[in-house]
Amino acid sequence: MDLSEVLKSTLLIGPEISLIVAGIVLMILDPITKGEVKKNLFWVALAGLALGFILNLKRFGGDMSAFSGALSLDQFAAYFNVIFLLGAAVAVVFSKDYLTGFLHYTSEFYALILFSTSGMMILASATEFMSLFLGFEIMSISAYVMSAFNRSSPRSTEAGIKYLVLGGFSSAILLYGIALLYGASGSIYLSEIFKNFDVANPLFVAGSALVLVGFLFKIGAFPLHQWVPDVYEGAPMTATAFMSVGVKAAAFAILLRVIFEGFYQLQVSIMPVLWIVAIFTMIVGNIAAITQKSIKRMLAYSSIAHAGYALVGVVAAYGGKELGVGSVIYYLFAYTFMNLGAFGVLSYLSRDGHECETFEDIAGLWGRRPFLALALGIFMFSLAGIPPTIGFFAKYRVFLSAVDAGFYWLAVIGILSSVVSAYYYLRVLVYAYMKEETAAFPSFKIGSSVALVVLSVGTFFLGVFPLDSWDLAIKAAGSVLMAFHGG
Amino acid sequence: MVWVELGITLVKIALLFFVVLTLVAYLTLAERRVSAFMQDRLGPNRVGPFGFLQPLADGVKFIFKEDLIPSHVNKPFFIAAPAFALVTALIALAVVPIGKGFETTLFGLLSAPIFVKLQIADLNVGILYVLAIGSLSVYGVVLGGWASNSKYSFLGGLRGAAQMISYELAMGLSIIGVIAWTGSLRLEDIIEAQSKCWFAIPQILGCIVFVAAAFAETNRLPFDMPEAEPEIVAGYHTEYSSMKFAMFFMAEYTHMIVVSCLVVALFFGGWYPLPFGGWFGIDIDKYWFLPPIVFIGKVLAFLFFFIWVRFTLPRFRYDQVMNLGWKVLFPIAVANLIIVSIAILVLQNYGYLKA
Amino acid sequence: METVVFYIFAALSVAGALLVITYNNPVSSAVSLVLTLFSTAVLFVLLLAHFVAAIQILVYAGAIMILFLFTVMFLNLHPEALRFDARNMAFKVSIFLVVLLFTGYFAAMGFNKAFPGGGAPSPSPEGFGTVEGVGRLLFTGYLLPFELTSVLILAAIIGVVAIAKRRES
Repeated sequence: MDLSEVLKSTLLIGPEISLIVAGIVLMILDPITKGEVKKNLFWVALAGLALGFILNLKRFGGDMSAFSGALSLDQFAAYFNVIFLLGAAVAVVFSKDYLTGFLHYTSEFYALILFSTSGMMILASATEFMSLFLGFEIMSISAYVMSAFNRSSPRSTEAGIKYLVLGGFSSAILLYGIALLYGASGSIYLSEIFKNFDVANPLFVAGSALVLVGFLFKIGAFPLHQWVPDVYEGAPMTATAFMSVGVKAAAFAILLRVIFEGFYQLQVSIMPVLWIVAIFTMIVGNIAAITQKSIKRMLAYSSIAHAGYALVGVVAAYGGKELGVGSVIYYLFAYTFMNLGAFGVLSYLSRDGHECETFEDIAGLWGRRPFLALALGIFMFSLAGIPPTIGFFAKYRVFLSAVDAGFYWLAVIGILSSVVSAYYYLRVLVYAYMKEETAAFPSFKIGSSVALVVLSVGTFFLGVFPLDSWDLAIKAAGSVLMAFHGG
Repeated sequence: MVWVELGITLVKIALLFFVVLTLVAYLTLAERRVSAFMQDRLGPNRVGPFGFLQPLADGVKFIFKEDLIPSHVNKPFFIAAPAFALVTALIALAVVPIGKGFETTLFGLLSAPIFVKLQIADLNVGILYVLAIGSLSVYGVVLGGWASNSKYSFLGGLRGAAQMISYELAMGLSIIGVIAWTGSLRLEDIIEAQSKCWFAIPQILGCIVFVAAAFAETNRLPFDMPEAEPEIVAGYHTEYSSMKFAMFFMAEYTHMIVVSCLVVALFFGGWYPLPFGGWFGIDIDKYWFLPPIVFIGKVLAFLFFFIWVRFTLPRFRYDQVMNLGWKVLFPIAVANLIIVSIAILVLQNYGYLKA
Repeated sequence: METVVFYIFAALSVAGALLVITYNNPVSSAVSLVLTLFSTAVLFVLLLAHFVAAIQILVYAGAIMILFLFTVMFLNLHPEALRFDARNMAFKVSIFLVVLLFTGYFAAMGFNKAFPGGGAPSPSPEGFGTVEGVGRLLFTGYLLPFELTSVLILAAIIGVVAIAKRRES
């Protein structure tokens, strides 16, 4: 690789660079500004994200690769980048209103969101294990810190420590898997591993199993899901919102890329494993969510369940090809809107030193803040998968792809558990609409309101009029499946 | 032939040990005599002429003193720590070249002459080796402080760890300028690159940082945080006595010799006697004994400088040491690197330096 | 000669790794890890990767492990707090699972296939393990990971400072 190629590749990763630069600029501006200016530094973060978004749009035009194939800047990555950037931008806006209440060091928080997002973007386009791991770690380490950001809260610290220790373990397992794969194939490039893959060689099998474990941990899938409720509950609200959307989507992105571009030959072994994992993830997530007394914790378990639904799509992808992968991508896109919205309402309702997290905290919302209650209603309907919201169409497509690929039982169990989930989502609405208010609600917050309007409109209308989002998801799926379509 | 080379290496190792340990012994004497001179006292002058036998007497005393191991210590680490400190200091000297070497047939024993280098091991990553081994020397201080299981020792050990790690950074960064200029990590190449001009002149910033960091790495005054007699008794070796204490003592002086050799080799032209002009046409391949004399002379001068500074400058406070390391020396080292990089580019552009 | 050195230091590094997890005293564990790192560095030297070996000692043994020790000493853990309960059910189950895994593995693969590889080692490329070789690779083929590492470290530093710094209020 010579200098001109380096320059060309550097220009190609403009979106990632703009985020990192915005993060650095934030950290430079923070100590030299004061008062009002300092409070409005979140515009820097938003500007970086917007620039990244604009530069990212170019990638929908066609598939490119940078740094001699280490990054595959294809439509698959571009679609996921939209999810990450959207999640990050909304999280920044929510944080602007939420953090001033009870946390200091807001600029650091924005910078961490930016870095984490850049890590996710690297992760989604990585086709080489070293960049993959570094993207994974940039994303994770920022997320660890964000979970522990509220130092005055013991629960936040606990969440940070738990996430750090367990996440460290999962990274170590992932790294060990990568080492085995490298030892077996002599290369860290997915394409080389794909070419040399030998199902009879135990190093390949053990390596890919360990790599999968690393990803499934970050997804929060069944046997590795225990950290999710504690971390999501303890972390600051906006950090949880960001993590539940971004980290999960990034982990799915890399999972899809690795199993289809890296070890597709292992499908006979991986498919049944993912099948079981998907079923248990759905069941465990939904059943545990029913019994929760805290909305935040309930949403944490629900996010496990949603990971299960998305995994159904991953399993279906083994049979239905584009439709399966596309449905997973679209599901994560939809989940971004509804889950960010749900956490957004909660962070809107949080006030100085008090997080809105129990059912009592939102009782009587309809009487005092009808628009907020309406938005909450839309998000909950969507999370439950009730038409005509985006959540319904996303679930419909996932289960359709499962049926299409011949996984009838998976679809049936998915639909059943999704029916169960309606109970706890609607319970939130029962409190919001039918109970008497017990707590005072905070005053109007402009930024969060705008973000909530965008999210609720998206949740409501993108379901009915998906515009390009569905077609682009199918195209994105095509670009990641090229590896074995093209040979 | 292999056996001959092995034998020569063993002889070199034995010689190095003998010379260094003797030098260490006489350094203690020099320190006391020089400090006495500076403070207008006499110092030890009773044992032998000018006190020359004093180190011998001290050694005998150390060996025959009771070797006390307090009951509250962690015994394995307590015993291992001084050995660790001394060994890491000694083996760092293995790559220091004091001269180019000479050809010999071992007084006619060999049919073909062989080339004997004045260096035990010629590593192509010589300078990194010294830094790596030097970084291990922290363990002696840390483990000694921890194993002693007493407050003062523990504080000394912690301070030592913090200080040595902090200054290792500035030290490593300050020599990158030299490495970039030379394009090699071998100490001999680095010295050869200074035949026209000592690196201390173009890279004065790096040189200053390196020397300051060297004082901190050896735990010498004005950076004697791990010992800090006025504050924490004797720091990490508070609980040590007899020969174990002496080993810590020897480690410190050996370390001084190591960093003096490094300063001479990296910044003060190694075996080139004057800042400019190399050897003025003297054939040092023939008069092979001249370079070692120059090199050792410079090392001795630096050892004197170490002692001189100790009895001239006041001590730093702990937070001042940390501030100096991170906020002053580190940025200066970065600045040096930038300046040197630009200088190298310019010089290469005009053909004064090989690209 | 080289084979003997290899076996000695390979054994030492494995022994060090075992000691790390068997010692009760965290300081002993940390020092055992230093032994492992040092032995691994010797193995790197046998592979003619002198630069990697030196960096291994300089960075891992000389800096990171010292910080480990530093932290462990600050924690001042009592041995009782660290005693490992071998009668623990979870421990027994995991031992059982490991044995099951290995027997299943060897039964399924057979001993010959279980240890693939062998054959003559491929010759090292030119400049292997030297400063030039490593530097050239870092700034060409592995430029992206190299730069990403700096982003990772930057994010980690910002995070640590944000969490650990004393806050006024």
